[in-house]
Amino acid sequence: MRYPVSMILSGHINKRIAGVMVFLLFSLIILFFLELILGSVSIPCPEIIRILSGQGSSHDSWEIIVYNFRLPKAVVGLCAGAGLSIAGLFMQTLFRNPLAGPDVLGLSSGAALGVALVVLTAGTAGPSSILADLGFFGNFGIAIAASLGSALVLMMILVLSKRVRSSMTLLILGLMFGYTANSFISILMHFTLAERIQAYTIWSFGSFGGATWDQIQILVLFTMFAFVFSIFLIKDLNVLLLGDQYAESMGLDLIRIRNKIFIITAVLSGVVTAFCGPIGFIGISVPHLCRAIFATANHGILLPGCILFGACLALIADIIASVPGYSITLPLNAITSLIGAPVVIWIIFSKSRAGMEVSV
Amino acid sequence: MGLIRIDKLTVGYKKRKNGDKKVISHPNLDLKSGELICLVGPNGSGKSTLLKTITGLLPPLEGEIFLSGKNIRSMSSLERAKQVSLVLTNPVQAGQLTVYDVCSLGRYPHTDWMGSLGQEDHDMVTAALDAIGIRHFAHRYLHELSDGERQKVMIARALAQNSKLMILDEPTAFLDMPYRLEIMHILQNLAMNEDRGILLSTHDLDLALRTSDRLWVVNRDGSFHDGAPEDLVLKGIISQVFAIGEISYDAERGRFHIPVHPKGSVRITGENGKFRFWTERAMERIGFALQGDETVKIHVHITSRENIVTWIIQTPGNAKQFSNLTDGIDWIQNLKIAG
Repeated sequence: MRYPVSMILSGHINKRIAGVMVFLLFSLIILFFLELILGSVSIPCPEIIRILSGQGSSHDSWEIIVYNFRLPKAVVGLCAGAGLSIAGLFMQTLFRNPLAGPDVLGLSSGAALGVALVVLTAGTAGPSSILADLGFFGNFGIAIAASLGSALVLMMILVLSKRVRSSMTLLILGLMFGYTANSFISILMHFTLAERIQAYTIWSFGSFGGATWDQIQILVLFTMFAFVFSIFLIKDLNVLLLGDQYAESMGLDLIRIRNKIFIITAVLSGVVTAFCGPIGFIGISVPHLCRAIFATANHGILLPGCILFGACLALIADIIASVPGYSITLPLNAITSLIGAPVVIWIIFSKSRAGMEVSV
Repeated sequence: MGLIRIDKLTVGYKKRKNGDKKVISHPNLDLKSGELICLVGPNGSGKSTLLKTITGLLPPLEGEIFLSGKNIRSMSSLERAKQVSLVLTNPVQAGQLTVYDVCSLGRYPHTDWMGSLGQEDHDMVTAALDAIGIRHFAHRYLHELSDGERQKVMIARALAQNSKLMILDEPTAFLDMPYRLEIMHILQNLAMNEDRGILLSTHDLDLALRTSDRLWVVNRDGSFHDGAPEDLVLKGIISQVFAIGEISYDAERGRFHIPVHPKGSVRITGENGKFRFWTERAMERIGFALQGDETVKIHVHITSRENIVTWIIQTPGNAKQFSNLTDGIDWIQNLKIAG
């Protein structure tokens, strides 16, 4: 018989899917190098390779630029894009809601509140960037505070989602949680020094370039842990696509899988938000783009797909935001929104035109 | 050994304060493989709750359920899924999943942690698709299908789950007549050819009476009846449970009786067969009882010549010929005959 398109479930990996995966992988490698090459100072490609391989460079400043600015940015962008996309994918499957995502349902705001609590209340006088010189415990503290913040919002949504059937209502609730968290932040800011407020505002624009190497280690550790853990959830996530009752009738332990998805999602959106600021629209749009590209809802394909595609998209957004060749940089959040918002509009329109409720 | 045994069962939702608790108690409730049982009862009698409790989605409040002799309380969710599969009323809304994908998800309790399918799993899925007769659209996406087709996919998935017992909660509620009949036919075949035990709830009493091997009737007060459908009709249980207001179940004709204001009586002569049958139905519908003697005021005679059927309707002082019942009924209703 002719096997259907998405037959990785059955072990028949479709050639087109494999092709797209390889293409995404190559794109990611190229984008990663572009992140290192492009910027206000142009460094030739052979020099980059020499610097990365540890042979040093003819210009000391180039070495500093690559090691302290561009390489951290590329690594953070890669982890953040992939992490947010996975969080979005899991939330969409868990809530069976196509408009779910770490930013739209208020998880990023919850994480921001966690960060604000740590940073705005901590020191009396501080450096210009809120992420600088936090020390090891400070770094972990900020990551955990952000994760707890997003976990808190996620928990409230999870409780309410059992009472609310409509995906639009849940979305509005998420927005309300976001507003609530933001108003707490505003209150905190009222009692804080002006430099701190300015630093917080800059952080809230979103940037991959603010984290120190120590913080990057934490980010990489947490995201890697989440990715590996996710592999074990593929089968359960696929069964969840048929809805809670069907999944349970087929032998899925609903509470356990919910808790696992819960932890991964809260940690991913918390840690990424802590070190990059709230990054909008990547989490909600990448899973949809992957479903459209791969023409499947199978998480065995969507999981690696979202990691690769999310990382690519984040790097593209960062390259655009850094405006290669000029000394100005645009807010990263503005760029991700410009890319992601049309995707969300497309989701809503394409499904309502077909006369059906938007579905995962 | 039966697939289900139920012992003094109380089902319901724990959290709700009083109310909504249903005691369904029957000493020897039993379902064997190869048997198709329909669960019927008025709304709010706890049909869905009972089915969800048997499937393990709800814990029994009191009493015991045994699946193939094993108490459901001592089974893990995976063990239960190997014993019983479920099909729900609402069509599944899932994008980008093919029919084959959905069916292979039915293998969930049997596959490894990755969910990878072996040759045996593929054979099982293909056999399930064949049994339901949907293999020809195995590569189509679920969201492209009609509700009826989607429900067939969900049944095929339940079949691929390879449980001896299949439970369906009003599987045909959203479907139109041809699909209802087809799904019931498919389920009958499954019970017979695949040796499964099938238990489904339905509101379609007529279809349930005609297709099920045994009927489980549950009433609002929790009383429970089990038996061959015909027995339950003859004992008057169906008429007792399903009577609402003026609507009653007519055990002699095997259908619901809808009362009409009586207008008189009618005598029908001539052709027999389907023309006679539907003429009688038409007269009853507009309130004319059938009578054999010649004292009645309306007399309908059906004649057929060279395959052309005509109705000759006579009343005192009037007679007219009609080529169809529409005009005939119209004429009678305009006569204003009393008694």
